[in-house]
Amino acid sequence: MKHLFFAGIYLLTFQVLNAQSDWTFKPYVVVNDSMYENVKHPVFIMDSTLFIRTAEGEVLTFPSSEVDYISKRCFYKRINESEKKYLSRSGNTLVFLSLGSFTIGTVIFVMDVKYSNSTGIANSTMLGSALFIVPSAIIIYKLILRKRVNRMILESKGLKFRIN
Amino acid sequence: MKRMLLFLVCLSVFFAFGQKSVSDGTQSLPFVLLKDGTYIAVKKPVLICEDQCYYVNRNTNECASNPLSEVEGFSRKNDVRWIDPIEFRRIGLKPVRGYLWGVVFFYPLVPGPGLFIFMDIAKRKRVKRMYLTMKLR
Repeated sequence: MKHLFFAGIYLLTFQVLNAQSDWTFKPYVVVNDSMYENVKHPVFIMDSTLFIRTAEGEVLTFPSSEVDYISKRCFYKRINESEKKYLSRSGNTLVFLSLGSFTIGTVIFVMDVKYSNSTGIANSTMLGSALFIVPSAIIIYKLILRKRVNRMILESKGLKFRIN
Repeated sequence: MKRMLLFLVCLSVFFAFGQKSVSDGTQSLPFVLLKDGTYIAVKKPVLICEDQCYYVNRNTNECASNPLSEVEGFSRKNDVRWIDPIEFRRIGLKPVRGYLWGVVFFYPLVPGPGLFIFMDIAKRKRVKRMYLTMKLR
């Protein structure tokens, strides 16, 4: 009975929050009463300018004073003065170490699933593999975002990439 | 073992047929394309600071810059970075360090990290050279 009560509270809260928020919609931005739907990540504000990439791959910039709303699924962030310096830094070593760590974690996980029969050992080993996989995956994701931010800033200046 | 050998054979065949021919007119080296149609082979990285594009010419090994209004675009294999003027100045005036880490990680441990550290150091040295030759000219 107690479990049912808590489950009901949880479902009710989840439904209410889901109905009120815009998590159900794809990421969108409202600027000057115009809506830009299905924008791609990352969405960021730098030097009082909002940068977005539309579904067609075009980079658009708007003054942040004209922005009416940015949906939650955009996960937008502000790039301040202290974060600007990271945009120009090389991530070769970090990518190598992260990929190495990710591979080690995956190998541990696969070995564990394949050869271990005991559930206790399996759990502790899986936790160990997660300690390798999760931080490296976060680092790789952040480096990819950094690369995309860099590309968007340059494309907003009218430069073209991937010319053969 | 057989599966591994088969995988390696498949991988080598894939890479052999996946390569582009040299005669199709595409450039394999990183380059900057100017609006007048000039291709400039460059070394990595290419920097965009304010309204200027800074690069090291691969043929002459000299630093050069062009206004962004003259630049059309960059090749696929290029490493183009937008850089803050303050960060550009900081890298330009700061001594390049990290050789010891490169050496330490190169030999006794696996050679990978040392190699990548040296690659990063080489790029940083080029950025420093660009600042010293172009900004302080």
